Amino acid sequence: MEGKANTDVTIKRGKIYTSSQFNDSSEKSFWGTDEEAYRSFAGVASFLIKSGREIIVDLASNVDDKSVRPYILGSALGILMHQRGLLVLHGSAVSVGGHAVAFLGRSGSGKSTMAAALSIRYPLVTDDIAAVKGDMDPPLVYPAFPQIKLCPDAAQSLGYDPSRLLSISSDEDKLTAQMENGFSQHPLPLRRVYILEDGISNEIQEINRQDAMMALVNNTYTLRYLKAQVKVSLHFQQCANVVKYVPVRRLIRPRDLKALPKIVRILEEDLKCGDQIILR
Amino acid sequence: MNEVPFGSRMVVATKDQVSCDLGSESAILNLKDGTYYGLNPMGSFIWNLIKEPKELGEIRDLILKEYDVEPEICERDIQKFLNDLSAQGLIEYRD
Repeated sequence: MEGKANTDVTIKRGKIYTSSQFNDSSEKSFWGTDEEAYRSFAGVASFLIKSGREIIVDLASNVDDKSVRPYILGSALGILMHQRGLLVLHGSAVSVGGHAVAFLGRSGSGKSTMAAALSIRYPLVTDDIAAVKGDMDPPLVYPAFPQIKLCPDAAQSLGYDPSRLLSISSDEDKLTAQMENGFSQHPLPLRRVYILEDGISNEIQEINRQDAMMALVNNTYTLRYLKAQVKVSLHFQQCANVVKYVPVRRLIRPRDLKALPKIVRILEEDLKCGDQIILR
Repeated sequence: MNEVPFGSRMVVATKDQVSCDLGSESAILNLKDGTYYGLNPMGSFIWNLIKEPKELGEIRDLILKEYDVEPEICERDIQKFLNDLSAQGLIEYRD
């Protein structure tokens, strides 16, 4: 990559020497200090993320650029955002009339599928990791990339032809669907958070603020890097701010791709009621 | 357990925690062990009072002003609540 005078983030290849950081010689897949964080994915690459400005990528042997890219754009950048003081959540988000609506859930909870179903009408903001500026009212969500990771079934159900989508890597059974339509580079105010849960029926439930707080904590992407007290305190305040300024609800639904249109309608109804969000 | 009457015992939140209000509720994070706690509105009310040292009698009187409750029940509930907080290392008595 060409060097520029005002480079925001530098991503470069390099060898990462980490043995001095471990107490034992067994493989440790992550560690973090105030300034640096390390994360490794067996068989893919290791990352050293420094001071919110630099990502060093140490590729495993026989790994091509295409395979490592999702990890750079996802995990490594997520950790970098955390180093810059943002609240980084396991979450997807879409824009409803310029307002961000987020869906939180761990891997496999269906947040990408949810985002993809909504992106047909509501532009994507992020599909997997949500970086939130949590010290404002309302908090802001930063856009990620106009693409979504989908498994072939979900892609098909949403009207994509799986054979025409890029596969993420040769190992993972996931595809990348481009979602450029209406994608905005600007951070958007966060106006609603839904915690995704599996259930028998489709419904949206109110959740008390204490439970909302715990849901945000449990869905924090960078939880394992919160060791230093000052970071833990900051994270705590950020979560509390989101809970104070943004309505948080539970979205319960069965894992049925055919039910997605119905869930979208239920969400639209919920977003119409009260608040500042008006669906056009 | 001890001979200091309820009213004059003094209590304060410890330094090893951070807390924030969530509207009428509160959340506390115990920095010593990373445990999170949630407080309902009554618990929040008391918690906000004891961020500075307070006598239990003063806490009781302030509650009686705000809420419609019997003084004996009020004292009992305050004591139980503070016992719970103390057991978690979130408050300390200053006797």
